[in-house]
Amino acid sequence: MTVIEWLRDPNPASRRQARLGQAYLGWLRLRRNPLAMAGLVIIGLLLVVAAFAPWLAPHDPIAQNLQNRLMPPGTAGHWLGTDDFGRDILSRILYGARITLAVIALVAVTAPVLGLIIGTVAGYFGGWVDAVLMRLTDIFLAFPRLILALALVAVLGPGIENAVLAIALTAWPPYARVARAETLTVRNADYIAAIRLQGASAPRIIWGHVVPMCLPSVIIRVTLDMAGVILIAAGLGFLGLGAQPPLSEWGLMISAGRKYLFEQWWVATMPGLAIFIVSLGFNLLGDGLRDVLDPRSSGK
Amino acid sequence: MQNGRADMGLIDIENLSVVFPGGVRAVEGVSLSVGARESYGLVGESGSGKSTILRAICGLAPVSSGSIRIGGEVLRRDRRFAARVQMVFQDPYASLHPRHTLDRTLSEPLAIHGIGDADRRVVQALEQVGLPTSFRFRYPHQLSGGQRQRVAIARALMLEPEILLLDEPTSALDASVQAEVLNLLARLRAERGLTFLMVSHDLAVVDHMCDRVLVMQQGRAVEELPRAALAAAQMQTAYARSLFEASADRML
Amino acid sequence: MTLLSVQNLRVTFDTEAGRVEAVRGVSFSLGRERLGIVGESGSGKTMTGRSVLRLIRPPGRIEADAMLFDGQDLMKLSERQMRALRGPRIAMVMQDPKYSLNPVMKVGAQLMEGLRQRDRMGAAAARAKAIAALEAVQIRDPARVMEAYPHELSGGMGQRVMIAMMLIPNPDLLIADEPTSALDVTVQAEVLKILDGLVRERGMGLIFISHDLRLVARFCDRVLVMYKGRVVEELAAGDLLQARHPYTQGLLNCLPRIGGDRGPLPGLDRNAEWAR
Repeated sequence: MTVIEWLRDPNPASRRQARLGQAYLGWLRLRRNPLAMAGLVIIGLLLVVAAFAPWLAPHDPIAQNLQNRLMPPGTAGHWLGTDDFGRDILSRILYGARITLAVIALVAVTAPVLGLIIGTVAGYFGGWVDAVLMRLTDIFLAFPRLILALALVAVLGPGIENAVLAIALTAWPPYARVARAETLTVRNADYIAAIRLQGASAPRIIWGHVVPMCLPSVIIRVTLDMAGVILIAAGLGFLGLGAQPPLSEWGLMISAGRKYLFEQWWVATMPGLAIFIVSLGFNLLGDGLRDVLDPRSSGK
Repeated sequence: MQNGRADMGLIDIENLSVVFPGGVRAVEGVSLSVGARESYGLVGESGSGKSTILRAICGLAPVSSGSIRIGGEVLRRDRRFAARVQMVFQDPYASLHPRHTLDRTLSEPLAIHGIGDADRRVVQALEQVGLPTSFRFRYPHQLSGGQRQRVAIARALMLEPEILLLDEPTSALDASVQAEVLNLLARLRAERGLTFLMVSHDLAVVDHMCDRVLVMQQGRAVEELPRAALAAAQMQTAYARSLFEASADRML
Repeated sequence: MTLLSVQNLRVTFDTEAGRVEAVRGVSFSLGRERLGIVGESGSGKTMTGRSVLRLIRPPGRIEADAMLFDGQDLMKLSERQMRALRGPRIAMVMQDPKYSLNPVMKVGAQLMEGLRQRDRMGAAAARAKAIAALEAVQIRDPARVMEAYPHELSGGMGQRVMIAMMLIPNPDLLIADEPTSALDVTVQAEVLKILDGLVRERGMGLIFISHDLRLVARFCDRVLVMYKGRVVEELAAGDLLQARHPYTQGLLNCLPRIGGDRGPLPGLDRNAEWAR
């Protein structure tokens, strides 16, 4: 029996096989969407680049060489040119992928989880619990995200960790909203009534039965939001409140290139392109995942 | 057949009223008593409150007055209650969690009640309701409507309850599948000595399954009929008669 | 007189799981009579009804040797010509009025919309005609119903409004897909009586699609029994109880009866032969 047959077996022999089989079907659906696959390739590249940056980068990202300042792209040895300290821009972008990825990973494991818990709890219990949690959400939503993140970083002090914390704290309210909306439709379903009749406790119902139904919408939302997260991280870096020099963070690089924008355009443009491509990758993948994960689209 | 007296029924409902928030009076002053191992039917049209009575027993609808007793005890909806009373819902497409395998659906009640030996019990439950054990790790969307309803019945029986509340268990199914599910329910009742409280809009189904029938209209009990009186068309009230006449082709 | 004649109708769906043949070579003809199509879910009865209106969405495809309605071959008409036919000549009533009526529009406005737009009728004339249509389906206070929103109507009332709406342009053929399945038995009887009267008075053709064999036997003139996309038996409704095909017999036998014995109901042993 080949692996494919094992995955497509209509009568799986174990939990693991059933789950992998479902994942395989999802993969088949995703594969038919060329744009989503393009997104996936971009994100795959980001992962590879982040993992192998020391091997891929031709130069040390923070080694300065003032003789080679502001070399244009195409210069031998510096394919994307050099910045105002003579550092190789390509190497800095490759290393910057690590920081971007770290920011994304940290935000992705904190904000959605927080939002999911708050949203499902509010939606499941309703009443005053709902009122309190949702007003709290509204307060966070009332501020523009960047402003709130700025305020938080100003309080916590600049630095990449605090930037991540600030982004995570400002990113959860939309997930809470999505999760609550989803919970409200699921809450009155017969299968929830059935498990309540079995004597299940509220945490068990929320975690085991409600959350799996909210997860697809939240995951889609997360992928679509990742572009925004990158931009906010870059924005904080640009304003000098995120990563600190000489770290090669993309936003910080754009900020540094600002001074030379007209004469040496590549200093700001190259990291800008990197941000653009990665954001695009996440958006494309998010759209594709919507088709794969949305229980309404997958049919009966 | 045991004749349930008001003072010795397994399920005793006295003067039950259910008013939903917003003032909708779904059930008004209904009393009924179901003896142990009896099969009792509730019939009526939509809005008659028949399903609401089942939901009130389970705590899924608010009881505004009256009392519900199970085995003489006033109801507390705790785990012990779950082990005594279970429900099968109308729509098998909506009553199984779409992202759980049958294994998860069937073993969940065991996990909640801390009952071990889940593997053996799940396999046994599938066999009991006539499903192949190879279905164990399937998802609901890989099953037909009738197979899903079998799973829902298996789930309701996992905790070995005495009472099964059946809310139109076959009305979403094709006729031939309905026959299979009704046969399954009848067999399980005989084997396990279950007590049924069954809701249906189909007089033929209720007649086939139940010993006594309560006809309901707009939240009120209209008339209680033993099975023989139903088949012989011996109803006293005009409404029960009109319901019977509209179902006359069910005699064929 | 033949109103509709369908020859070798096929409906196929090309899905990722492969090709699914929902209807496989169905032929029938219909005069100004009540034709019942019965079968279980997945038998292709709904698809057959929808194909007459060419209302099958891709990836579904309709093929037929001929589908003659009043002398025109429906298969050869353009989408534009089909649109002109749907409603005025061939109308359809669906199972659940909840999903067929626009929830944010008053019933009266919905009834009058077609008259005002298509027939360029004045407001007063359209209103009079809409009220007459509601009266034709035995709605007692049509003026109140005209001002109601669909959610304010009961199921039976909603279904009557649907039927009234379909009947305003006076179609020659009405396709009713499980029109009474969502209704209570007593309401069901009334809706059937209305449909019956309309067929008799206006000389309409009616295709009545249902899963309920006994209902169809009582209500229709002729019955097609479908199984897995094929017609396995065609017979006069009165002879349904003497059906010869084992599938039809099985469908009848597996129903519980009031006053029947309480032994296990006979199951339906499906024979692979029937689907061929």
